[in-house]
Amino acid sequence: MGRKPDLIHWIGAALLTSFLLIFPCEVIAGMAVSPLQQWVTVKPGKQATVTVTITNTSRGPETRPCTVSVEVVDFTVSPQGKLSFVKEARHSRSAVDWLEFDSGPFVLEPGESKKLEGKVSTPARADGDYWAAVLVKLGNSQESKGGVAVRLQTASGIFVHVARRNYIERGSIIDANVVLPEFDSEQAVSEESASPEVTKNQNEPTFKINAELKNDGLVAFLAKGKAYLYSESWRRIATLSLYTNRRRIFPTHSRWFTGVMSQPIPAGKYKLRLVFESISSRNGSSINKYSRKITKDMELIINDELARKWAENRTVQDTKILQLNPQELELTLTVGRFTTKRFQAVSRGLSTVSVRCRIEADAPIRDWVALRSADFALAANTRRSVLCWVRIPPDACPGRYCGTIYVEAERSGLTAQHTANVEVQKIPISIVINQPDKYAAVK
Amino acid sequence: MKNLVRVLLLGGFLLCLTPNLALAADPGDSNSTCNISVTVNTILEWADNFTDITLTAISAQADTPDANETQTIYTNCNFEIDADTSTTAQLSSATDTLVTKYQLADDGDGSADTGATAAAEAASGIASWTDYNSFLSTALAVTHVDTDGAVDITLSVQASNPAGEVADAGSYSAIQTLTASWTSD
Repeated sequence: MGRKPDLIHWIGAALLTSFLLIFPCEVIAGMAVSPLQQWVTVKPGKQATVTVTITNTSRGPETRPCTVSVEVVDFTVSPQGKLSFVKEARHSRSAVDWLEFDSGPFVLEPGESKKLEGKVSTPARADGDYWAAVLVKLGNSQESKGGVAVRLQTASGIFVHVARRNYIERGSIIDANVVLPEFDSEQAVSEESASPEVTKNQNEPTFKINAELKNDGLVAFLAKGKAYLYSESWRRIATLSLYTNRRRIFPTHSRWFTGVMSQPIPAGKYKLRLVFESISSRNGSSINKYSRKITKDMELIINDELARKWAENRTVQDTKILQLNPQELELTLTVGRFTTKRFQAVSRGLSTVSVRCRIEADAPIRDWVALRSADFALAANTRRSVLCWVRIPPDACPGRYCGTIYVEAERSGLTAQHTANVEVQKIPISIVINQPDKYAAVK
Repeated sequence: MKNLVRVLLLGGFLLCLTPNLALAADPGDSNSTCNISVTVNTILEWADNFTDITLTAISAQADTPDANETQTIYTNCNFEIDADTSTTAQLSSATDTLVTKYQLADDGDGSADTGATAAAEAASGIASWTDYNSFLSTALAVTHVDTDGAVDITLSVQASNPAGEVADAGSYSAIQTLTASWTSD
């Protein structure tokens, strides 16, 4: 009798296999990983936990179990902002040896979710920021039959802040160069840019400044930079916003920033000042105060021939520096509600753009709305989302509340000719707070 | 006399009590509120594994077969995709290798729907056939757009003989690993 259930099981499995062979249908076994990055603060010599959740989302009867394995690895970020995951290559800020995770492999049934709790144990001598990544690998759905097998994995970054004391962000500009437009070939723009992200549009003549900023401190910081062009008598001629695709710079790392300007510069001898500021922020907020400035001075000569050709090849600049989408925000909420809303800032010109967003000072919603990552630079033809956190206090009265988000965009360009390089746009934000419906629960 | 006092006291007590009893008969509305909040973390989900990409046989020196497979990523955040550029991603047999090139495509524009912007596609060079050892040397940045939580990713592979010769006969295989990871703040 004891063998009967086994027999039924095997017969069932055989019938299912036969059915699938005769009537092949698509089967899926995916893997969701959350979150993609997290920060944890630990005291020296103490422990903390981090959690990564892996889920095999059930998407119907075709979903089947998936196999998942986990590996804690080091990663580095190149000066160009590229992440590289490396095994067994410890660096001085590696948190790999501090992290204990169950590496699996795990079999997740359809709809099953697994919370992987990792223990972070920091040594007593630890000081500042350290990091590692958890690589979650989706197991093979089938044996490779030749050709190209594709493996999928998701990296979740884990950043450990060992809070020994108050830290000061320290950085230095370790390299910088200027790329002038070239007109003696069909390709007008020099391709020597060390920074990868700024769009190589386009055979338009542009002036580029590249600067490499290094973090000499013990904690990561968000960096923001500008380049100022002065005449010999220190009169400001132009301002360029410096852009990078990963502006959080970890200790010992460096990052290239690029500023691009499309307006022609007159012939002459110039002084160039690079200025970086670190934005003290741990969770993506750029609201905090700036710390010390990091500067470097250079010199630059634009000869008559270059200036003449540049002026002849001058491009027509878009009238609008920044496009916002949507152009107004409307929310209908109840008291005590916390939600988020976002809008996109899109750079349409050829030059890099510096963007700063803020809430209207006198607006009644000022204390309810907070902007995240509201201070940034955009490369040409790129976009970025600005997140608005909206938290309605429990004692708010029903009604309609309005305010304005000011978006100040500064295009890289000449300042001496009184050109309109700064434009301020407004995004009206309207929050309607409804009277709580006392019968809502029984309707 | 004692009884009269008791009756009067009882009557007085009832008079005091009656309005309260009358009010107590209808307790009226009683509201209570409960604030419920939940945080949705950043999520990235590969809907499934890619099916192995099988190319048609190479039968002439100039043959350059290619094939592709598509997979969906469900997400609520920006992310980037990187590829393996080691020799593992090159089609090879026991004795020889093929020229192996890759392309990647996505179905969004990063503006109206989730996907890579034109600038991100240009920076990563995904639209052109790229040798395995430089494929996605600049990772492809995918921009999440609110209310669109899915993006289709298509990986294409092309194989060809080395210039001026033909590769050894046999079966060639490779493993390409795509890694999705977080983007900057």
